[in-house]
Amino acid sequence: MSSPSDRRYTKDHEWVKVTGGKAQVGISNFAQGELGDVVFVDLPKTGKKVSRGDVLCVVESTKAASDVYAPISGEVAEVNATLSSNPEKINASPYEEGWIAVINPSNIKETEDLFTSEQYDVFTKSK
Amino acid sequence: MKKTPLYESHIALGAKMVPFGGWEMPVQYPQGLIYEHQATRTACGLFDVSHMGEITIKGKGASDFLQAVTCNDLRLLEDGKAQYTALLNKQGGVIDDLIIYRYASDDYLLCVNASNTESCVLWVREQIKNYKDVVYEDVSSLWGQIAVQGPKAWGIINTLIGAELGLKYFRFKKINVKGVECVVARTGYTGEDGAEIFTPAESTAEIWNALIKLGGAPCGLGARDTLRLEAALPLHGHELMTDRIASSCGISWVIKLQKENFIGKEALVNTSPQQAIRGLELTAPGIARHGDSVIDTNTGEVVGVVTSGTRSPTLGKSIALAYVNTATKNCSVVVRGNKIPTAPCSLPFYKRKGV
Repeated sequence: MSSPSDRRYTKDHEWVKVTGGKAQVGISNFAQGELGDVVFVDLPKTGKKVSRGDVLCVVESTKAASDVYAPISGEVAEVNATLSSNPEKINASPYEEGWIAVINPSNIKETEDLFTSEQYDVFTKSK
Repeated sequence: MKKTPLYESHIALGAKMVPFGGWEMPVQYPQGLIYEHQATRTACGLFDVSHMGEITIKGKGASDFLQAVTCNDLRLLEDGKAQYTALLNKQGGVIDDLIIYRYASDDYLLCVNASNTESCVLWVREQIKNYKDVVYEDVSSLWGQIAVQGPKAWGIINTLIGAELGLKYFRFKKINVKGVECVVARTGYTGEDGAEIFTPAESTAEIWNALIKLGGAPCGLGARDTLRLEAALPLHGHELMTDRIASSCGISWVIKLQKENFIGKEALVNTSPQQAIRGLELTAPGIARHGDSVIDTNTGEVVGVVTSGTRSPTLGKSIALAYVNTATKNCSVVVRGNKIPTAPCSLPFYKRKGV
């Protein structure tokens, strides 16, 4: 399955989709597959300031906890509160219903050196 | 990295393989850990446990030897019966927990943890020197092992062997399975009824495939861990450790201090542990993991450490086992800097109905 082409990807398997100056972020289908059943998402607080590469939040599968890194710098404007009660949405719909947060980016240009969907698919194929 | 006789089957089933105790093992199959966990609780899960170590102890003094190196009372065993016990070091720490199968008073099989097989063999080799008539052999590579667990496990096993086996709990029998001599034991590590089947290595895949055809769901190490944790069954390297005294580990029921003498007894008699394993339920969102600190909720002082923790698929709660100072009343766990309060939980967290 190829990744949606309307967004960029990090080598740590986060995605970021910029629309109207806002950056929606989540984890890739590959990442959810590697994690296994997600049972808890330690969501970030709105207003949290992150630099690219900082830990944005933690996603826990039954087996282990994994850090999710901010793919872009800025301030957390919104979080997907649905994940508190339905963390499994990350498995079922990593690109749509399983989004994690919306960031007000401080430098939108940061997305330019992230993987495109084609590059990301090549990158995960080698895994 | 070692491979079990079922390696090819796991790959064919699409399992995700991980290194575990020197072995390449399936952590989960495509349907996922929670599916596998529920399959075992409600129907029948199949587990490749071929990585477990098997050591035979034979000879006239075999009973005396085992009585001296294990903490449970071997006199409770009889032919065809199995016993859960542990090998302790002189300080009372747990070298490994194991099951001893008695074929006869001079013929035993020890089943030990995969990652401890080497240390168990070394320990046995050292201790057996004082027993001239006793010999040991590491026969791990000769055996495969499949755990068949869940409320439907016995139905499937009986169909497989074409007979009603009717084994009592912790009994075992040599059985002909599809023309192959196997050992079937009514034991397990999931909190469910079921069996562990020792199979000759070369016949393991055939029996595994037959069990799948009869409706067993292949389950990986991930589900094995969440199942055993719900049942509060200890795991070496987590609850059981070489540098923790056995009386604090939650296996007191297999430590028989009335026994004349055994390695570790002196330390056990002379030590009253400051900490002991207890069950906790997290009462705010979060999951505690191995190594997280436990603090006194009132004083903030560190009073223990989490040994195992997960989100319990059966109970829908976040549960943990932890070493906590015996004097501590209310404790919290520290997960990535956040203090999460806990409530005490009686063990096991999960008990199957009708037991």
